[in-house]
Amino acid sequence: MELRPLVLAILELRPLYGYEIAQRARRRANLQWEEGTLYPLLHRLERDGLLASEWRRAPNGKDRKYYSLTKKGKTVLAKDRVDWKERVRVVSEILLGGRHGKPGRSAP
Amino acid sequence: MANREEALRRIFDAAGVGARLTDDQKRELVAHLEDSVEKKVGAGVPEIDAVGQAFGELGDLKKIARQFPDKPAAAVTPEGVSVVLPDSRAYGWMAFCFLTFFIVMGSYVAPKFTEIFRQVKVPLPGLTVLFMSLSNALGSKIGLAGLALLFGALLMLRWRKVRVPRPLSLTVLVSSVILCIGLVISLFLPLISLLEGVGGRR
Repeated sequence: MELRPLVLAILELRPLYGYEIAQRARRRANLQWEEGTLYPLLHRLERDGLLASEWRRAPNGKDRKYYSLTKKGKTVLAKDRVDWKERVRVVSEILLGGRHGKPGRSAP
Repeated sequence: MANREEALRRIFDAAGVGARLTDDQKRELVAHLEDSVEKKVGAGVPEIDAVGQAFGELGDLKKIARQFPDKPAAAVTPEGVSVVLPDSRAYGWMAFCFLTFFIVMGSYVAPKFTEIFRQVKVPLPGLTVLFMSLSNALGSKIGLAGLALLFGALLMLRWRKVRVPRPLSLTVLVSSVILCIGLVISLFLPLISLLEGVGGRR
């Protein structure tokens, strides 16, 4: 599973720190993964300019590194969504033979 | 709890990946472990089990350390323009280039200049005398200097993920730059007085 769109989508609403992102990914996508692999991904996304980060005080009183989407990140997320819809459409056509709600017409 | 953070940091360091990570990366991973342990302890898991589970969920630390990008962004603007500073490895390679230049200049070019200065009997400034004696010493141990350079280059290639502290690599870089600039200036100073002498005779 490609994690980039997932992380970008999780960060779309508000800045979050690593543990929060991992928890949301686990809850929303039922993702079973080695949580530590999230951090190299976050650093790569930051290096590529899709995320910005800053250390600041979390509600639990501890300093945490918050990540937020940049304009470039929002653009890439929008593009990822279009790509994803296209992929779903193509796979649905092959598996379901048309629109999602019309099963039974399998491809030859 | 400060004790928990410190204990997690020690366990983390004992895993032997500290040298592969920047302080920022290490701090972030320890913070993750701390949050994870806190949540589990809050849910009634004994602390010792919570620590084990948190490390287990985090995954293989060595693998994670290898996955971090070589050049982390120093800053990213809201538009998404990232600023990447050269890492200590880049400084190391720059220092390698300057030292190679210094060794080649010091052992092959500087002796030729020394010979010329001796023939025309131009007075040598202190800086030139210093670098001339340095190049003489270098010329007699050129094989050793070359081997040291080769060894340094091999070390940098072999341990790509080992992060040399930035102040150390910067010190090596600045020293090598000073050596090169000093050598070039020391060769030019007598040349200038030589040219002035030629101009004076006319």
